[in-house]
Amino acid sequence: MSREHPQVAATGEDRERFEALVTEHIDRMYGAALRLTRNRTSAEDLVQEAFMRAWRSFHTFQDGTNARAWLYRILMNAYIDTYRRSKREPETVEDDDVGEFYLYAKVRESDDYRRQGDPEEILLSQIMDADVKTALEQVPEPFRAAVILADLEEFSYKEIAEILDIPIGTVMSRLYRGRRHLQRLLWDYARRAGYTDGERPSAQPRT
Amino acid sequence: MSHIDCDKVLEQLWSYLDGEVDEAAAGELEEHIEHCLDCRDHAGFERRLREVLRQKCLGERAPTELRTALMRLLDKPQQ
Repeated sequence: MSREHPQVAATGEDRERFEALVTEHIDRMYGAALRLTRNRTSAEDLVQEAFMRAWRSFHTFQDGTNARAWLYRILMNAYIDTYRRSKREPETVEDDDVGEFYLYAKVRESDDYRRQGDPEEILLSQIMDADVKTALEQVPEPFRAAVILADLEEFSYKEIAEILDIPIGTVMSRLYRGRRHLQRLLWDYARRAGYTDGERPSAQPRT
Repeated sequence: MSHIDCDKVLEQLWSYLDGEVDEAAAGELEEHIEHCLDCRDHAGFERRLREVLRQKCLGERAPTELRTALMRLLDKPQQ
């Protein structure tokens, strides 16, 4: 009923509904913006721009549709417009084709880790100590965006395809590529975190 | 009963953990992972890795000034 004249100026009721959306999503969106822009001021600007765009097109938003995906689509468009030089970036950043499960393979083949009881747990606890945010932020675009949307924001492949306006196959290749990259970075960071504890992974040999 | 091998599991492990394989395939994968020590170990590791990623990278709070600025902008007449 209230949608009969969608072009008229926003009503107090619209404003209230929109404010509820802002309150519900601003923290998560700010977090995603931080991981994307790697900078607090840029993240604030990006989130503000996204919500202003969302407000301007709020009359096109249908109640009952996925508000979160709608907002992230606007966020990603604002990000792409502002922070990526062009939408058509080459997808070949560098030759990073390590295997799919880099970390698991590495810890499995490492004698240093194997000597210590539960190698996977040791590696994971080193990752806990490592600077995971910085590692994620070093994953190159456009792969980082796919990892953020899937692994942090937990959108489905289909939702990500709609948010980024790319085919599902491209979502998967970007996501997998981003994960491989992240795992390689995490391995370096975790090893460094392990060493700075004053202990080389091989310092506590077990029988 | 159909059986899949470890290679087939690894091929689909990320899609499976992402909840992106169909129900029949998910059932097969689940059964294999449950009974195969190596795959269970591996799947558990990938799961925990995601948890760690979320623990470390989520939980940011938008600054109060951002909320205030935004609410002020919303009050401005559009266009």
